[in-house]
Amino acid sequence: MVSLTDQQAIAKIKGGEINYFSIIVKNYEKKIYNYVCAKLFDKDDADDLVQNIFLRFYKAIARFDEKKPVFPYLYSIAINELKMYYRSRKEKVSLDEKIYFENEQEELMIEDYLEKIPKEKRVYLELLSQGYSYKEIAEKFNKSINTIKTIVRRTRLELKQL
Amino acid sequence: MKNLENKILKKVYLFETKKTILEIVSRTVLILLVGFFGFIFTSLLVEILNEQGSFDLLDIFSDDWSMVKKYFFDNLSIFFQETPKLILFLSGVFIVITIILIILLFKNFKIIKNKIRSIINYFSHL
Repeated sequence: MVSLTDQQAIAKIKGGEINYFSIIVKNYEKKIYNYVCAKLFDKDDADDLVQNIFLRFYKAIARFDEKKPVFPYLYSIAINELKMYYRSRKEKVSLDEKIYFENEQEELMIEDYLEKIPKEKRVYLELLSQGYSYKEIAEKFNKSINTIKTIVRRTRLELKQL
Repeated sequence: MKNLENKILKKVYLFETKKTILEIVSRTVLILLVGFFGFIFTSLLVEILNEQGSFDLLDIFSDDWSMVKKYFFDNLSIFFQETPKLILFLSGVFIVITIILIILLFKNFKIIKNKIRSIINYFSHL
């Protein structure tokens, strides 16, 4: 296959020559894969996610303006896919209640409070209860370890005050 | 990384294969269906006009040019008065839609052809 720019490759793909999509994949696969791997811990999940990202891009290619750069668009798809991934994982995760309360009454009160706390703080607490370290959580959300520790400490203080 | 690239392309080709097959089948079915209804209404229209003897009005064209000029619009007016309007409308609509669908099919023909060629090339090299 002759070397083409992204613009030329996309024009060909829009014309039905699907084989030129391999140019897009070759150009951006590594960047997207490295980005997703930095956010996920499971290599298989990262593989699946990268495949879905490129498939979603392919599905949208008919309305994609080939004059615009490809990577920012792929990047925004990657962010959305990661959000959906985290959301689907959160639904399967339940908090370990034993960490937070001793009796049934307190349990109900804490449950009620947990539903009211911001989702971001809740995610940190959930991940800690699953056994993730502060370092791993910080890497996952691109924040410093101290920031994560501070947020978790404050949330636990609020819970203790109940 | 090559393995992941192959997985991505396989997913894309599988998706495009399903989409192309669906597109071809749906376009074909739609053209045949709409064309069929166009044909039904047109033949019904012709049958009714035949029974009424409305086509006799068009015999004017076998006369002299002076006669044609004199009575053409009168005959045409009577012809349309005798034509069942609803059937004429439906017949016209279905025929026009059929023509539009065929034009769209020809317009996209090259893209569909390229897709089929790409898909066949890909799966034959697997």
